[in-house]
Amino acid sequence: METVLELRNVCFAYHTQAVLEDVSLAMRTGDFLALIGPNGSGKTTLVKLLLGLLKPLRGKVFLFGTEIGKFRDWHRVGYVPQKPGLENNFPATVAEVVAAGRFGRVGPGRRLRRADWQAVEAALEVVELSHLRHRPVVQLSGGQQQRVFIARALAGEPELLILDEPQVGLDEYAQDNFYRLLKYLNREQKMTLLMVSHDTGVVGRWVNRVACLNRTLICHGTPGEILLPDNLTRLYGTGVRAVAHRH
Amino acid sequence: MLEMFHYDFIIRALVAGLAIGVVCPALGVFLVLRRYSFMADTLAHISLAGVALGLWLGAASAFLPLLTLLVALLGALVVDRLRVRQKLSPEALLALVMSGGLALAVIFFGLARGSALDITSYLFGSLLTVGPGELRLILAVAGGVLVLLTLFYKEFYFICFDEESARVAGLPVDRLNLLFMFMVALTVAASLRVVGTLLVGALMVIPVLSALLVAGSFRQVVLISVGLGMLATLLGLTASYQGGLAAGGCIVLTALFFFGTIAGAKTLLSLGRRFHRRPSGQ
Repeated sequence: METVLELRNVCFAYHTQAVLEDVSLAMRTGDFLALIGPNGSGKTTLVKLLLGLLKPLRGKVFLFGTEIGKFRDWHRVGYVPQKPGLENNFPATVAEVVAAGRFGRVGPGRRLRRADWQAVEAALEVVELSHLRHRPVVQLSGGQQQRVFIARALAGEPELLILDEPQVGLDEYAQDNFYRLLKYLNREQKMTLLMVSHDTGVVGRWVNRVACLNRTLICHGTPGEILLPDNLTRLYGTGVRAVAHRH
Repeated sequence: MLEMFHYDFIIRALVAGLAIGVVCPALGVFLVLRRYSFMADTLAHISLAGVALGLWLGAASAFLPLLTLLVALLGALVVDRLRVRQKLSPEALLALVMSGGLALAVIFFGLARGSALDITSYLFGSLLTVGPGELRLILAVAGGVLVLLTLFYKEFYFICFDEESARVAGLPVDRLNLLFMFMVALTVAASLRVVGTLLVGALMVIPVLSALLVAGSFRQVVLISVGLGMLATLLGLTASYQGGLAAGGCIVLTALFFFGTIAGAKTLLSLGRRFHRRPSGQ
């Protein structure tokens, strides 16, 4: 199986504040990995390093075997951020948002062709939002909006999907549907998924690997191996939090 | 009313006005949605410094518009570098550069005292005195900007909506941002004689704000903004001719009238709906 992404001894700091120290991690084709850790543990920074938005202070990042500085096949990577643009009441329809997922493949200055629109339509069908394609995104529920952004990533037909805390703001029912969709993409479409999450309670049911991050990689393995009380205490410092809530 | 079209100067004013009336709102859509509504005003004040510099240097009147364009481009470069390097908020960045542009303009105008040129034509616009040379420049800028906007429409839209994802998709975001800033700078500098330094920002922003009240998609926002921009120019210019009023002011007031009408109609509609939804007996 191909190594889809790899971090080798990666360190990163904002000014003098160390955020990541000596992190090494690899994902192979078909993995569905949850990256968990407390607030400020460096999860989002790690995602930005993987997406080439930040450069590591030390160490190397590889995507599909290519060092990230030389990586050009960005259409192989799909990215689902935390609902961008919507706080301004951005006036885009579902179809307009999802079509943007093809722009990287099409390239600057070129128009979308029929095949691109077919990919947009297929992505909308996967997330079951075809009937809302002309609806402004801001009018949708939180769960539907999240599915729009997944559809945008899927429209680019990626092999690796990176999701940054996608379940934030979703109710229990929407979360369940959301995880089912991710599982379908992983199992049926053979997509490799990396999902940042702070939700240790639910992710174990859906993913096949878990990595615990708190500035450095504390542990990683299958959910059964990792999501144990001892590891979670090391990660989140449950004892410390209990003291803090005593009064 | 139609006799106004018998005059060459009116035809020139109309063509120049319509060209600017199309380009300004088309660019304004991206500025408003990125919270850079004051970008046009900022670049207008920098362009004014270019006019003043030209007067001080004694530039021939044929070169003055070109010098203004060059200074506007330089201003756009400064704005872009500050935006990328200093990570200032849009409001702070634009306030900073606008003050700089205005300060330079005041100093250069002071040094150029005694010049025969009427500053007010650049401050408030002087559409009816646009000459054939200026018209050619305005059409060249408007045409060039529209071609670029059509070519990179989808990229500008993506950056406007979600700059980070546009980067991840491999789009050359920094270069496209700089190109967009140059397009705004050129448009603003070319619009100075049409609506003036003080009102060019209004033509970029007001039609877009009106369109945002009614549009159901990004594409509709662009089309309605451009339509309202053209209509405001046409009606504003007619009112200006009929009433002997300043053209720039008439165009912007017409655009404001559209905004007020649309906002008012929308409020009345929503009040009407709420009234009908009320259960009877209350």
